[in-house]
Amino acid sequence: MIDNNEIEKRLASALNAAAPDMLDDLMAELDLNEKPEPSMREKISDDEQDRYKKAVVRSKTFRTLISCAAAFILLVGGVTVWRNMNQKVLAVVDIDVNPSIELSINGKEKVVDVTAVNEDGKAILDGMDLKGSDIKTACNAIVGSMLTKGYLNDKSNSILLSVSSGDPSKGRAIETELSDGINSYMGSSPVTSAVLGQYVEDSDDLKGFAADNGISTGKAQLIRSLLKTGGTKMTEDSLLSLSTQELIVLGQERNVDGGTMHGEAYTGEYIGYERALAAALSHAGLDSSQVSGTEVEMDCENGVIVYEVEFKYSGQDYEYEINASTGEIMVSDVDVDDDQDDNDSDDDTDDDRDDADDDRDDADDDHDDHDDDND
Amino acid sequence: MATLQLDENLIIRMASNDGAAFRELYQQTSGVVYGFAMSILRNKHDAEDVMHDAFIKIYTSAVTYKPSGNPMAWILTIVRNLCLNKIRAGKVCEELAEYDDLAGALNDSNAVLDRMVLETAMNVLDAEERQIVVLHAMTGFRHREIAEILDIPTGTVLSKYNRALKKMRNEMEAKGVER
Repeated sequence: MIDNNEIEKRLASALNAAAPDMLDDLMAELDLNEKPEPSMREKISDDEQDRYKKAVVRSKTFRTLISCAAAFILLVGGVTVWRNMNQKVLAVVDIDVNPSIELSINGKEKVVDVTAVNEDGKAILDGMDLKGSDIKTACNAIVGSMLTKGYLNDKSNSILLSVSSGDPSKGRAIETELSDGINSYMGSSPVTSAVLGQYVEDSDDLKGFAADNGISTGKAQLIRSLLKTGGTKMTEDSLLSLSTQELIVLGQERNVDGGTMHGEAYTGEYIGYERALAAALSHAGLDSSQVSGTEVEMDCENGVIVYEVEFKYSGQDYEYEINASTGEIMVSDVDVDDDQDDNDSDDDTDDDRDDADDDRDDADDDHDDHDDDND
Repeated sequence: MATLQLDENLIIRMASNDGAAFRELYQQTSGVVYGFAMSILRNKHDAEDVMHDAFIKIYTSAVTYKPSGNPMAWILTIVRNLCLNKIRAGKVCEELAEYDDLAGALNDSNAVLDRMVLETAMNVLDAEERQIVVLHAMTGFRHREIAEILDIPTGTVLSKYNRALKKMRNEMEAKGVER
């Protein structure tokens, strides 16, 4: 009769024997060498010495003079190519969650420099040595650390990945490759994530804006893209106060140009379009069947994410701003509908609207009674 | 049964891109990683996929590893999560009796019995029983440690372990295996 020990021993033996050998493939995929690579300085010095010795030996004949010249050209060319491949920064990769980290990579897509753009970024990089790593491995390590440290979770699930490069086609290809890689990496984590990938033009103006405000160029680019979405009350200052998660949600809801979204940014923090409309209708004492021209869109005003609700009823334009998180009515405004306006109140109405645009608080004063009722 | 002891420093060294550390870790754990994935997925190709993804993840997550005194548990949790994600995503193949094929590669005399034990484990045990028996056989972990990895009560592990081995012994006996 076979006993328990024998069964376990044989089961382990069979599974050990059946396990495939994928070590070499894995090491190649991870770009791992067992011996530490000689430093760049040592490498070039050996190279130079070797070529120098060969050149001296061959310099005695005319033929070797030519060889020597060729060797010199090769050496200079080789050093130039080597420098371009190893030292020259091909692209800058920004990863923003709340921690913001910037990685510079060379032509071999190895990390040559790493910078924490903010304090949270420093916490992520603490104890990590990413220089010399493959950029894909480095991105996964950073995202993994953000997961472990709780910066990425079910409610704050969005990652902004931005790539800028002097070579736009390579930059775009790297952005696609890294966005896909992070998306795939996050697919095996418990968090359902969203990755917004964007290529960033290499622009001094954008870099200046980012540096002045202590943000990554990637985040700066997203802010600029959001400002171009039109019909918005957003300003640079109001967007600068938002988190990366909030910016990505706005980008997602307003279909911002210039980025590719993988997954869906979490919007469960917000009341949603239907409840925002219902709150506005309720405040106006109307129901959806009575109104026309309904529009609801997510916007940002003074650093607060709002739903901007508009509809028409009985020759009047109703406009509301509803706090997207709390449902509170922040602004309510009723004007004569321009399309139907045929009375003499035209000038007054325009004045009112200008005031409202200049100063929402003043506009709101006109409707304090409504707000109080609502409360 | 000897417990599989893994040096925690291997993971810490891997965080500094130490290829030798990765090789050593792979050599010590590849059988368990594969075996555990097989016990959950019961399919050779899926188990190989998970094994590949697990080692990539072990390497890329090494920087986030917090020394806990039990690096094997950390590795096995990664394997289990990858398997469960694969199942949840509906990416697993139909359960196929591919263990026949896999065990068929073993052709010495001992291998015949090894193969029969593996077939029995795959055929007569349910998924949880398979995981418990494989982990016990390949890591030598205590039932309490297995319970933590599988996130089930220790009592359940103990009773399922005993029931599983009894089922296997009965099946082997029915096949006329005697030692």
